[in-house]
Amino acid sequence: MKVKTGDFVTALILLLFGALLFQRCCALRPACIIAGGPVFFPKIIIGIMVLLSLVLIYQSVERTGGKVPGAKARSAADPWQTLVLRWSLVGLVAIYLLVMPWLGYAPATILFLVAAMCMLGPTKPRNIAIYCVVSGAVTGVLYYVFGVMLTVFLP
Amino acid sequence: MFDLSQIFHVLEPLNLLLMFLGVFGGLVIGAMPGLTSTMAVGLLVPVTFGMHVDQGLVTLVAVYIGGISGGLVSATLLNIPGTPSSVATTFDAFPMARRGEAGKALAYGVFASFLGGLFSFFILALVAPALGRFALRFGPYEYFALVIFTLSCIVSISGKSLVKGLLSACVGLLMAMVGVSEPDSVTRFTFGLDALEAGFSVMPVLIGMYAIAQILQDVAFIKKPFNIISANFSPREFLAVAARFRNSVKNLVRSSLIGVGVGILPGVGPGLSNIVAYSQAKSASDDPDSFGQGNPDGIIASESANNAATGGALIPLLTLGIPGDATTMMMLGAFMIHNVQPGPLLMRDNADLVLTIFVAYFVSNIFMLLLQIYFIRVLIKALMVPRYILYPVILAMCGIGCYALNNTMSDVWVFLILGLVGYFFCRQGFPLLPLVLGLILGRMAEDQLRISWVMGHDSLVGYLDRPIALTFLGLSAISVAYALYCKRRARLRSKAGAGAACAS
Repeated sequence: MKVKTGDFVTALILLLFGALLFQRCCALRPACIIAGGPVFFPKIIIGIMVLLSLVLIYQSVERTGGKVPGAKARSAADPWQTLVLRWSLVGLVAIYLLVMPWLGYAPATILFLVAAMCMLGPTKPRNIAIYCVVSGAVTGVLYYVFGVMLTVFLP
Repeated sequence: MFDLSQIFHVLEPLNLLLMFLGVFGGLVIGAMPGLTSTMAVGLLVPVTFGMHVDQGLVTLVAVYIGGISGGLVSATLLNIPGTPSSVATTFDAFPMARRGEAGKALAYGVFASFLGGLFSFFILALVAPALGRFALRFGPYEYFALVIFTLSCIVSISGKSLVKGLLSACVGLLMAMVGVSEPDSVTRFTFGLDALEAGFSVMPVLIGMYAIAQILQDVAFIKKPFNIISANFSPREFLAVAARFRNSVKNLVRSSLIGVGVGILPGVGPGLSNIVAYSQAKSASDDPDSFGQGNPDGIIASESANNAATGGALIPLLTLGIPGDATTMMMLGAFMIHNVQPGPLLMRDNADLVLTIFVAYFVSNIFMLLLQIYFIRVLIKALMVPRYILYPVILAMCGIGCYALNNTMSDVWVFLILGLVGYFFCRQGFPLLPLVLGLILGRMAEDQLRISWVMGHDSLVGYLDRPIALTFLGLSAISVAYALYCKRRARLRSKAGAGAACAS
């Protein structure tokens, strides 16, 4: 028997999430109960979510007697290189957010933009020059709009 | 109800300039494949933070109109709909462009968009005040039932699996519970994080879900250049096409009516209206076989319907505070930032703001027409910007926009983390719309349910005495049951098809 892994795992995560939230609901001790209390509505939603997660688990097991066409098509359109590129971009954004408070908005943004463009696009010297100019211009415009016009205190 | 002198206030030079720039920005972003009108509003919302409420509202409406209309350009020249609302436009606009009539195809689309928008404006101005007055009768029972109806509509039409849609809505509703519950003075589901005490800010979640999820999905095709069909045309050619609309009045009115009607339904909006209008135009045509091979009536149907749907989607937003689609959801978040709470009380107590929105809607449609006639070459140039340059810029803009919301990095982290959650949901086939709608309407649903619980003396039997609430709940049940029926029928058909294929 084959299982549609993505659905199965997601449903399990949601089940665990539901159990965790239910535990938090039980831990809440309000001073007084007004209109059903603070966990009245969340408990209803958690109950529905758990029930639906079980249905999804059932569907993910039951439906796949043979091939799982969705999963195969997706893996074919998603080669290793794209996967690396995708998660490198996420990592780069995370680094950008981490370094922005101590490096400052302008240097961090310029570095992020140039690095991201180099990662995603061609890296000939002419391209890199364009990336630098675009990054500087975009950072400047954003700084002017938010920092000067809207007087937002940027890091 | 309305103080008409307010119209002159809306037409001040600065407001006109903001509308012009808003429409232009929306057109440019909407024209780029993959960047939807939702993203157009999301990217430009932070720029409105520091503005006066009137200026912010006119800019948002202008961006919305521009964002929906911009999809026409890439649909015609690339065969890729710039926004989901232009899917049906590709069916006939691209074949016309391929046979050397790109200018004509664009002209038909531009004028149909304008006339659809204008039609929608009159319906908006007529229906919204009346519906607003009617909605003043709504109490907690009706509001809770309305939220359930909205969620059920969205769940029924979004995604292939009803279970996944419902799960997505549940996750959104639970996310709305995070933070302090004011009636009880109790903090819920924050897991000790101070940043979550005030709950999730709607805008970072919305921007993250739509921007990051979209960009991460597009990474696979990021280096692939677009093949753009060259288009030679002049404003004179545009005007010549306008004269030919005499023959398509029936199609235009029918499609615009479909657009407004579909736009009013929660969760449907311009994304579906163009396809419904196209299929209706095709079945009503004397020459249905020419549809799909470059028939201008196909472009007129699709473009008039999607622009008409914008006015339709604004009706439930303004009168009930219920967003019709992802873009109006983004606008609801932006309205809240400007301390404007859409709903029946807005119509009664802030009629001047409603009038501002109406006027901005009308003027933005005129700007949309003029900009597309005289600056369409700029939009075509926008298609040529490589995505490996565009996407990092969008990420930086989204990041700084989320930061500017509350001057805090925690909102930017919410943008990134919830964006990844959105991407994961998309990959697994979970629709995002129910999730974000659950997040926006969750607190409202909880409050109204709890009040109705108290009014019914700790029971929900009070719903049985409320015909409007019962109607909404009944419609919710019907929409879910109908979706289940359609999905079951589709499954049986595909099984029958597979069986026939095996037998042959």
